[in-house]
Amino acid sequence: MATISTAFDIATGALDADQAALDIVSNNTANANTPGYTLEMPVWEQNDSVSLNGVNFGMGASLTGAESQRSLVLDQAMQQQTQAGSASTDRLTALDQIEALFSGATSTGTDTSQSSGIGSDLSNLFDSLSSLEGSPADTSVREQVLSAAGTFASDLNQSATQLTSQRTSLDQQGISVVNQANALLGNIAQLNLQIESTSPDTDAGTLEDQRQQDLTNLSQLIGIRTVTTENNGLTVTTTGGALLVSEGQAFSMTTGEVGGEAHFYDSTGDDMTSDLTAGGGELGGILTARDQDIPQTESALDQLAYSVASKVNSQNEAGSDLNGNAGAAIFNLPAGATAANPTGSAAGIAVVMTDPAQIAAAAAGQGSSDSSNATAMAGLGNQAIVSGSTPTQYFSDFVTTLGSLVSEVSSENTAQQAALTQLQNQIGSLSGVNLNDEAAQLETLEQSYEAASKLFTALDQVMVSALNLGVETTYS
Amino acid sequence: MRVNPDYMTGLVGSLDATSSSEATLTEELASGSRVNSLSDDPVAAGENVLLSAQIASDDSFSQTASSTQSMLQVSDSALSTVVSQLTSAISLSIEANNGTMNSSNVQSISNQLAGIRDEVLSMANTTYLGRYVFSGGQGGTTPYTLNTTVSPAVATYQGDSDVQYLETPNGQKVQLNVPGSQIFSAAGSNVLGTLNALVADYATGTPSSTATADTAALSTALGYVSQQRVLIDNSITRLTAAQNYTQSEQTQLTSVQTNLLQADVGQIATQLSTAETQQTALSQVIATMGKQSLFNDL
Repeated sequence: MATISTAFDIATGALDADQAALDIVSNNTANANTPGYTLEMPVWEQNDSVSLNGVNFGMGASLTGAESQRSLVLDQAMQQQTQAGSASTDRLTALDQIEALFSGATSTGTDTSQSSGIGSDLSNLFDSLSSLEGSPADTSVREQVLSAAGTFASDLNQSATQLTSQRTSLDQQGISVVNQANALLGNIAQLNLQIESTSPDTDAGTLEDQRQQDLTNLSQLIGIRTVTTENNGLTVTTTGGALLVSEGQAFSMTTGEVGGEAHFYDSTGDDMTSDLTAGGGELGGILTARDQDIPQTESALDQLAYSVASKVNSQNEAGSDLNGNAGAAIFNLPAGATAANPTGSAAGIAVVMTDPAQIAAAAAGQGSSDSSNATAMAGLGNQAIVSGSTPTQYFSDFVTTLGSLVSEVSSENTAQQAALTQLQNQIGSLSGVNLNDEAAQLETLEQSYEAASKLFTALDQVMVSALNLGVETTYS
Repeated sequence: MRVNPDYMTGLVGSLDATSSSEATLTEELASGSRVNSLSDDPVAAGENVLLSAQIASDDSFSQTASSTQSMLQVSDSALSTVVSQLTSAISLSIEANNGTMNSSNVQSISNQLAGIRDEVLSMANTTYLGRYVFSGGQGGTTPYTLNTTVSPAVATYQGDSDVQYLETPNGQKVQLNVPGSQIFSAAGSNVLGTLNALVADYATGTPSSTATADTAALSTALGYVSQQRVLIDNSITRLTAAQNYTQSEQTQLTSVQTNLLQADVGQIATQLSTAETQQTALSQVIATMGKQSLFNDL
């Protein structure tokens, strides 16, 4: 038979449960702005009913704990999207810097004093040679040829130097990214141990929040894959499969230098630079810019420098200078550079000719007023001497290719960021703390707490009535 | 349905995007150019490189053509002097040949012809900016020297037969000089040689037996000099035409370039105004939303 004290128990249980739920609501509200915090919902459970004389009596409710509102699928998607997003962001940053080196290509006007980059250097060089056709013996026109050649060489040098220094700074960024990632690996291993010992079977709540937050941060840095293991542990590998964290152990990545470039190694000493390049994250973006975009730009400049310098040189060598001597080289190219492998030409190109009289405007053996070799040199500007294009056409194609690449990566980045925002919204709608929800819950819990308290008062009256057996005021 | 309670981040993100688009639009307005970095319009940037190169080359050709034209004009006026000198030489010779003159008059004609020869010689040795214009490729060498110790005197050509050309941006070649050997001492119309012969013909006071033939040869030579002068005149005309063409091409290309890169001010202003409206709206949304919370009503 049901007793009044049972009713008291039920009311007490309700008060306890309400209090616990209020704790959860308070905790949610307090952590509304904590990064990585996952909304916790109280888990209510109906107590087992008691059957007395064939009648079922409910035994109230209790709270079994708080449950984090987490979706591992969304978390995984978030990690991958973060990797892709931050890779394209970092690559775009690097590309923007490369692009800025050639922004002169967008300037207009024929004012030669205004620096409009390698494109106008090229036209100045060939235009000065064509001026030489009209007055081959004029020293000031000859000076102009040398000065145009000098500007062309020094602009190429400058671009090459800036690309090299950008490569160095990307190297340093890469190393610092790996150091940050190593620190996170340690944290994750630590959290793995704690989670395995405290909640091997269920969601680990705040510990799990921290681990997920670390994984998101790690995804920002490098490309990773995660596998959940037994006892709620987590194995982290790079996208290439190199082990980073297993259970409670972190396997730090190391860096080293190969040929003046930073390379990255896994814990067993294998070079995984190319895996990390393809993997994404900041490091992926940095390495893509360093190993793909900058070398492409450099090799285009090298090709241009080598072709123009060697063709102009050999044409000048084919003629006679102002004093009737055989022409000499105008440009100096690095010793190892060849047509097939012009590496280093842009950085190393220099004007060696100092005496404008040495420019061979005349054809071999002709007098100082002859300008047929100058015509031939000026004509190089309209010949397909650089990889099947004229020098200006080649530079124009280079500018278009570079611009398209930047614009492509930029749109890709916009799309990645939009996808990331989408995912953040999905995760937020599941795991975010909505203060209005919490306020509503608070109100509901407050009322149910009040109701349970009222229940006490009422039960108290009932008890008094029972004790006094209907006689008033004897006992109250 | 639950929505992402952290809408503020999204709104602020949109606000950032609007601000950045405002910055881009303002930059376009300020610079007047819609392409401020390669990625704004890669194809236009590439096209601009080609256009700029062509414009620069047109501009440079115009300047080269101007200075070259001065040189051609100097050559032309030298030849014009030669033609008028030769004309008077021919009439002097005809006068001497008609047999009505006494010997001192014939000798005086010989002297006058020597003067004309010297004048023609100095014209053949004309310089422009310190360079001889009629010595072929040897601009530093005096084209003709005269040896008067022998009779008849001998003028020797010391230049070469080199011809120079200026290539126009369209690849046309314009001839810039005629070697002296082709004007003043060409085989069959040797101006200086004939003049020297005539001077010797009349030097004794009696026209020699070759005087008439030499006079006829001088007429032939005159005709030949005029023909050579036409070459120079043609070059001047072609150069002027090429210069006009490049100048008009330059104008045209500049306008193409302007069209290619010029910012459409009206369009940008409209976009800017839209962006501003959007920004204001977003700010108001953020301000309003930020105030609303159920906690306020508890």
